[in-house]
Amino acid sequence: MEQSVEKFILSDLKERFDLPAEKISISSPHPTNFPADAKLFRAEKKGSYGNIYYNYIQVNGKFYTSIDEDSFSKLLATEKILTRPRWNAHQVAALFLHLVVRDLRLVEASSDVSKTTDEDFNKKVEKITPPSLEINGSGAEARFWTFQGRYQKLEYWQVHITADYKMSYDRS
Amino acid sequence: MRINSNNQDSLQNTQATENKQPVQNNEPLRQDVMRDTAVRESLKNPSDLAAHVNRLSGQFERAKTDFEAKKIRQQVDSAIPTTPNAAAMPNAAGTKVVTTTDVTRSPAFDRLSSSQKSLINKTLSDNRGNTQLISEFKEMIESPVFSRLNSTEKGYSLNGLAKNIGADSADILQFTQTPSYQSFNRMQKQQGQLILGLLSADSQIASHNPMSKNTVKLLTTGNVDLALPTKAELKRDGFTDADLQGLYGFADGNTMYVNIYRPGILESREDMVRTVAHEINHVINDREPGKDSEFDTPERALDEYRAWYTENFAVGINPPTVAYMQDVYANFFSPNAGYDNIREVYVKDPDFRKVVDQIKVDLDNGKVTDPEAFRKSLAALVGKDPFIKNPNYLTTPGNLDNTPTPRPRGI
Repeated sequence: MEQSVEKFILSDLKERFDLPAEKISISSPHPTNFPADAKLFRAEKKGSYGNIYYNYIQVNGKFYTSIDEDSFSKLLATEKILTRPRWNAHQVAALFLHLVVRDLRLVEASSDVSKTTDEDFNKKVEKITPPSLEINGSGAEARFWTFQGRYQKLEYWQVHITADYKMSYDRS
Repeated sequence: MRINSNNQDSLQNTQATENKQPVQNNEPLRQDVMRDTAVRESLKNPSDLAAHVNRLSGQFERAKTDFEAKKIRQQVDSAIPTTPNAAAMPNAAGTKVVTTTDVTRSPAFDRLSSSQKSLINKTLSDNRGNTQLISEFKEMIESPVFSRLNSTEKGYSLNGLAKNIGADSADILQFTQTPSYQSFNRMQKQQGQLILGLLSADSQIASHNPMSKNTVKLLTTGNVDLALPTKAELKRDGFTDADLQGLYGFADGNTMYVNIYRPGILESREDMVRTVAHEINHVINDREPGKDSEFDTPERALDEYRAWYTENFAVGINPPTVAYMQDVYANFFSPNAGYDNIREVYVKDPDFRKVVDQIKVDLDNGKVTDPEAFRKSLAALVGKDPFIKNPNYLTTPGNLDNTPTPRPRGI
């Protein structure tokens, strides 16, 4: 990892939360589906069993972090994805799942989730489809499914991006 | 059940008695017994009384933060002659049958506020015939610990019991003696008692144990702290608004944090029980310096695997189902894993990958790998696998049921 990246992240966490550098470990995982021109850095608080962490995504030299609720919108706006689209549905979903909501597994087909004795749940599982991304003159819409195993929580996400890059989402 | 109002670490007390050291603090128990006029009259020889009390005190000290404490308390009770006009009448088996009137006509009940009396009356009315609930209310309102709470806190404790039928009044009152509870503001105390009551009620289910009882014990003895962070604190810890809609809780250091902002947090008991058991399993397995799991290592994967596996014990599932573990496997190691850092180890570390791939083969054949088998497979890689940072973590047997261990000093 570049020293400048580490320095930036540590300095940012110190400034925001007064977190000392010795309490932070930084790694650079490579999730599947991440855009090739985006780098992920995970700053984790030591001794938190992986529970307390902050994602930083670097694209074209700029950082976007899960700490800021508007990071995803800013990233899409800066990269002008409505007028210069270059990320596919999987990649947009992967970015969303690191900046807006975390710790969820993207699922793409009914075979990605084990069925249970709950028929309603199983019916929902049958509806799982791969991520989709639609860009048009009025904005963009990304749709995908996630699963949280502990609570058997299967969710369908619809992420709306307006023409001026305001983001909202529905989860159901 | 008697509640320990002295908030010493239970494990320290247990260790002291195991080393046959004299019990130092039996004064509260002695005073309680001495206050009973019947005892003083029936035991003419003061030295007999002292010896009797000391013997029972010793037993009680050993068990006071253990769930066996209830039995010891019964022994204390049975040593005290009952007065002829006692409200409770013996049943055919010779044991007391506690009735609603034992609660509602007691002096302790008279001292409650009208809203507290209404709460008890309504709860008993809604649960007519539930003698255990009657006993729990009786034990709570007659407890010396309860009597020392202010009126508002009495209400919170009663509410924790009333809203969680089956909870042990002793757990709820014991929790009031922890530093966690005592650091809470009013709203947190109210929420804390509802959460503790929920966990306590669940822990009375035989098949959920010993995991659930151990988990409750850790919280009610102050061995593991409970915190109810504000939204600002949760945000500071990196949780996004969208995270908080799903998050039940998490552990950090020696503290279990519960997200009271999650919609319906108290409505799904199983989810809460799983979460707390899971997170405390991290705490209990990682509390020894030098034996904790570091990130991006096989040790971290084991720690997480064990927590996901053993949380099932707290809801009566042992072993977890193949389907559940297939989802866990996918969440850790599949291309779309939710755990980036564990997936990263899998991709980079061929020795680790080989072990993990065998888990998948076994799952596909209907066999679930238990955490100790996983640990032993990883321990065999010590000295060969450069990704292992903490060999001790892999060579030390894991704690699979949250059996209390001493709280490390200085935390």
